[in-house]
Order: sequence, then structure tokens, then C-alpha cells
Amino acid sequence: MLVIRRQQMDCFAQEGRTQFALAMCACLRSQFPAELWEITQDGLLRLVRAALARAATYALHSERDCRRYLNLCVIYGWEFDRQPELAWMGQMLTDAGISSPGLRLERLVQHAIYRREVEEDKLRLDLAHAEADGDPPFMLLVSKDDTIAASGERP
Amino acid sequence: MNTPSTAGAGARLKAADQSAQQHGSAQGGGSAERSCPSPQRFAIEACVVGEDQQPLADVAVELRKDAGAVLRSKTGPAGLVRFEGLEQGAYQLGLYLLDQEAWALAAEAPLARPASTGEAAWAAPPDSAARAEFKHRVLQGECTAKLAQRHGFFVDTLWDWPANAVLKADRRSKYVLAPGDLVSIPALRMRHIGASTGQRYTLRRKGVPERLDIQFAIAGIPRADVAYFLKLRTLDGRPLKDLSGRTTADGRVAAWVPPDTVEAEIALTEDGDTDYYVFAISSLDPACADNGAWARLLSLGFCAGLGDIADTSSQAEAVERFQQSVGLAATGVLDTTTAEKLDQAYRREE
Repeated sequence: MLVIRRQQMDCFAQEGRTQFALAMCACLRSQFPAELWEITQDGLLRLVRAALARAATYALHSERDCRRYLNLCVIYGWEFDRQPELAWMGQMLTDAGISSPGLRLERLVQHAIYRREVEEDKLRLDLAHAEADGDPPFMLLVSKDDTIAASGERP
Repeated sequence: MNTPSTAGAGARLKAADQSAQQHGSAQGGGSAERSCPSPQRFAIEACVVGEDQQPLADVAVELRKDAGAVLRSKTGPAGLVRFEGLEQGAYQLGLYLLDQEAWALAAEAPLARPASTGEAAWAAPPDSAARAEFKHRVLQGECTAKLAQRHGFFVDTLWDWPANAVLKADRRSKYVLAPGDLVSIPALRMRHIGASTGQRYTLRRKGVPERLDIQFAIAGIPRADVAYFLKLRTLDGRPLKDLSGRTTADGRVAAWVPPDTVEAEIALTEDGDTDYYVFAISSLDPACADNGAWARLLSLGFCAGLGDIADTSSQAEAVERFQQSVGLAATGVLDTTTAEKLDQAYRREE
């Protein structure tokens, strides 16, 4: 009978974690070469290990979930979930109204992609629109079911 | 925080996420242990859409196996929730933060990917006491539609609720409430529908989004076929897509907007000139209130050339102009009859 002792399992796990972190680094470099080209391999490995430790606090352990979490780290910052201006992201990762960590992450990723696309779209339209001159805005009060004749000069 | 300045960060994140989903295993990363292959499991999807048939985000969805085992999630921007790791069979599906009249089953169809991996993380529903009926005191900028959305109701359920009958008779329009009005918010009545593995259920949220309809005219002549650009702002500041198009033949800009929209900025561009208008949504007071009367007189064009619109003599002059136009004695005083006529005139513009 083959007996595997706890110390041996710990040794396997340590090696497994290192290999896993290295594999995550390789995935990130292939997906985000422009964002990561300045970071050394040792530096990236340190960042990835720290990020994986934080992902574990949200009960994100699977390879799939870790990769998705790390993708967000590259785009939004390595500690995005601690940034006050990105509070919505941290809230989604801990939303008690969602049963499982994987579903929380799924919703966060979908929102992140959507928000990024909307912001990019707004930026593009704003730039296109900036060329138009106009009067400063003024305020009118309306209710949603009412139609008004705005800026009407009554004869 | 990283703030990628290059365009397309969203597209790169999307591509990286697809790769992670396709190639990332569901096994624990870096663990020395591997779980045994699990038996075949299935999925159920819920897609929540609004009155405009477009997906609705952040709607709470529940899949129930029995009274003590539920899965809960919220829809993403695509309006979708996918519950995975289910044994083949029948379950109960519901929007547990919405009243039973606030949603309906719109469609049911087989899933393209009915199979799934892993095991569903069933949990007991949290112990939360059902909220009892209560009275809400209206603040400036609130209307029945906003309150209905906030508390999980269909707008007509609130408006037709027996405890709101007096308010309904006084205000006439569910979109025009006065600060201080009291609105009864009933207790939520939850319901579920039967759901089978391998199916997608499209659920329609009733009363959301709402229709914004604004007509632009100069001297009574509609500003037809003018290019417009519409920006919306909601109470929580979440980003919304900007809209653009051309006004209709009768000068209208019509769009579906979230009920919690607080501001709409519209730019009209014609012959190289752009006019900007900012609308405070749901901020219109009833016609019997000074602010409400003044806003109606302004939008109907009775304030043209009067100078400072905050000046009481200007307001009296505008009221006189209106009274003359509808055959009332030109007193310049906003009495009950004048307020009613003003409200009627304003509605005729619809």
C-alpha cells in the first residue's frame, strides 16, 4: 500500500501552487502583453501570488475563477477591490444576495466589461460631439408622461 | 488604480474572460488534490427583460429546490443568470425581490448548452422577516414609478393600491407627486414558476423602463427631423449608454429610460447650431403649487421676454397672459380655476 504523509502532501501542494502561479503569469502575458511588458517575471509572480491570496478570501479557488479575477487585476489594478473609487467591484464580490462565489464573480466580470464598453463609447461620442457649439444648458422640469413644448416663444 | 488610456480595454477584458472560461478548469488551482469526475449536471437560465424587450441588469433571481434549499443570483448587463450544477429535474424560479404583479413569464426555450459542470451550492434562504406595509413621504424628484422600481412593484399596483386612492384622486397623474405626499408601499407578495433543467426562461419586468417623451417646438411649430443627442443620469450615477437620432415629424424625442433617471440632457443640432436642454425628470410639482404652475407656464411659452423668472411680478404677468389666452379674468393670481386650466393646457400638449 502506498502511504502519502501530510508533509509530502504539503510539499506537493507547495510545488502545485508555484506551478499554478507561473501558469497564471503565462496566461496573463498572453492576454495582456501591452499592459505587462514592463513588469519582470519575478515582479509579476509576486503580484499574482498576492492577488491569488486575495481571491481566496472571496472563496475563488478554481483555475477558471482565478484567471477571471486576475484579468480584472490587470485592467483595474492589482488591488482593485480595495480602491474606494471602485467600491462597486468590492461590493459585488461580497454580495450576500448571491449564493456562490463563482456567480458573484460572473456578475462582476459582466458588469466590468459592460461599464468599460459604455465608458469607451461615451468618450468616442463626446469627442465627436465636442466640435458642435451651443448655448449653455438651462433647466426645465418635466414629468415622464408629459410632453412639453420646450423653448417655445409664444407669438 | 489602472486607468487604461488606450481604447478597447473592454474588448481585451472580454477576450481574456472568454479564454478563461473556455480553458480554465473548474478544479482548484494549485491544489495537490483532484476531485473525482462529477456526474452529469445541467443548467437553468433566467433572462430578465424590460418593457422594451431589452435586458435588465441587477434583478435578483432565485432558484428553489425546496423550502430549505435555494440558489440566488442577480442578472448581469445581458439580463442573464445561469444556474449550473443541477440534477436533472424540476425546480421553482422567481424574482424574489419583486412583487408578484411586477413580472411575468414572457417565453421559454431549450438551452443551447443544457449541460454543466460542478455542483450547485444550495443554501438555506436567509432568515429575513417580511416587510410590512408602510407609508413613504415623497421627496422632491420622486414619482410613483421611481418608488415602484425602488420597492419592487409594478407602478400600477402602487397607484391602484386602495390605501393610495385619495392621493390618486388628488394628484391625477402617477408621475406628478408633491414633496410631503404620503404613498403607501404594500408588503411584497412573492411567487415562483415551475422551471425544468435545460430550459431558458425569459421573464419580463413590468413597468421598467419608462417612456420619456419630449416634444420640441418653436412658436408652436414642431422641430421636426432635427439631430438629437441624449444623455441620461440616474440617482446612483451608474453609466448609461448615450442615445442619438433625429426628432420625429412632430418634433419628439422619445426614449426608454430607467425609472430612477433624474436628469436628461438633450442637444439638438440644426443648421450647424446646437441647443442644449437639461430636464430634471419627475421634478414637476402639481399645477396648484407655485413651482408646478411656474414650470408649466415656462414650458408652454408664457414666460417669453419677462426677464427674471424668479421675480413675482414676472410670474404674475405670465399668469395674466395665460388667463387671457383661456378666457379667464386676467387677475395674475394663481387660483384653483387657473391651476386646473393650466394643468389641462399642459396636458393638451401631450
